[in-house]
Amino acid sequence: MNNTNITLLPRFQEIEREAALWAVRLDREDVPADLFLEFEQWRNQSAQHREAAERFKDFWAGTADLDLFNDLAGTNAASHEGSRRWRRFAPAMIAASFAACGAFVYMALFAGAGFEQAYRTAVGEQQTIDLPDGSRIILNTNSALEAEFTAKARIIRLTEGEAYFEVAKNPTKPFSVETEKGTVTAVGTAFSVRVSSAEMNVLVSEGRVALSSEPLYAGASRILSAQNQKQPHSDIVEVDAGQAAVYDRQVREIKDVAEKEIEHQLDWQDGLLAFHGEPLSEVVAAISHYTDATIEIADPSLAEHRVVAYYQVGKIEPMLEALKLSANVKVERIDGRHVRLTQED
Amino acid sequence: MSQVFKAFLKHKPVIRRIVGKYRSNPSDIEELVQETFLRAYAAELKAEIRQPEKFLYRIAKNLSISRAIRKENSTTQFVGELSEMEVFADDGQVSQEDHLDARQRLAVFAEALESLSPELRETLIMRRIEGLTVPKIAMRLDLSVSAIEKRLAKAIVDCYAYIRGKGLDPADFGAKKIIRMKVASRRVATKSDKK
Repeated sequence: MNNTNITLLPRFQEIEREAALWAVRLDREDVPADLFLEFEQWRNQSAQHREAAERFKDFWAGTADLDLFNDLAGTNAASHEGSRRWRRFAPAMIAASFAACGAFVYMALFAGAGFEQAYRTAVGEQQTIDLPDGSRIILNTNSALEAEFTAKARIIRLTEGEAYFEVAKNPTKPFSVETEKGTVTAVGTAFSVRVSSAEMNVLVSEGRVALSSEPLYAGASRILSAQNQKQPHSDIVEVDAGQAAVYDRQVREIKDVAEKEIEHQLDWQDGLLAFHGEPLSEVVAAISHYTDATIEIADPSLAEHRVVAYYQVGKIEPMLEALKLSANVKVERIDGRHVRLTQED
Repeated sequence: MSQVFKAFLKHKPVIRRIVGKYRSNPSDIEELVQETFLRAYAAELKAEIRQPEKFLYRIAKNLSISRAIRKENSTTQFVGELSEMEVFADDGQVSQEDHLDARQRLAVFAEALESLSPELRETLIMRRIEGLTVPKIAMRLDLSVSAIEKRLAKAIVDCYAYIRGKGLDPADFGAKKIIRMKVASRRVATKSDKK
């Protein structure tokens, strides 16, 4: 080991400790804008800071896996040792262990058991849905979906808005997301779907999905058998991890998306809206999804103003407050439903 | 230190023998031994276990029996779904591997937890297993929010160091890698299928 390494080490450890502290501090529901700005300043000191921040954010998020002990404690083998303390947790644990049942247990115990449920979020609201097969959905603002599980298929109908899906693998039960514009089918993967009156946008962060104009669930095996013959079904288009597709009964566009960009686009799942230098017009368009109020940029020169900021999703007032701070913008409230942004003088 | 963890380290051969009555495949046995520990450890996080070794033995036995039953059931299921199973055979194998990986990760996390000082362990358990928020923990322990945040940060720095010290890559325990690994193993399976 050379001298440089030895002298750098204490500073390196300090950065790691600070990065760990930031990971913990930022993991809360209502992160104030000024705390984020402080973090951004800390992070932007050097590439080393940025790298450590990323690493410890990820590691801290990984420790959420410890939650699995709750499921394990709820399993039969352990439950004989009942106690007051245990009983307090029991209902939650039973629910959790149900959700954690792997594909194999699920098949053996619940084959044929149906499940049907509808979900809706209001403007500015987000909801995390844990499905009985272990899959997870994060429903974004102003969105609606229905989940229906049958003996053969897992079907989600996204009727409005946007949702992110983490699909638990189940080889015998394909997972389909149906929208007015087309269907996305997966076996076990992670992707997000947004549907509007114009089109369906699909972003695949892990694995691979199949797009089709008609639902596939009756014969999802078509996807793979078609692939094995190396002549894909005419109507089925595959989208891989790292790709985004625009679809409306047929493919309009498929493009590769850089990993950073994917993370950025999926920031909303963490309840965050993150901007890395987008023009104010885009920022306002994004914020508008989360509020009933109309936000108007009164000053045309402001529209091109670049913004670097994190906003907490759903709370419009702190967002506007943060905008004021980070973009040097004057916020005027005309009435409850109308906000005007002008250049700060 | 956890009584279950201590008892497990001491009586591992006995547990292995109990499981061995029901299983002959060494990797099956190791998996069940690990699962026995994880379940006992999980139970101890919720309640005091008075006779940890007896508790471990009982879990080992119950688990071996219930797994044997499950194996029978799922075999029956496979026959019925065979046509579809063929198409997705690779995915089925991978999902079992993923399950194993997840268990191994959890076992290492348990060891890492045991390597922490009592107050760091207590705080991390409150946050990650009991699911309490930082302000709630602060209230319960009668400490400031910033003191709890510092404890949690120290706890993950120490867990990180423990994992690195074991010669493992801490990134494999991060949230992103967990998903990425599943995808990678699935890709390998698909590729070998095409050959």
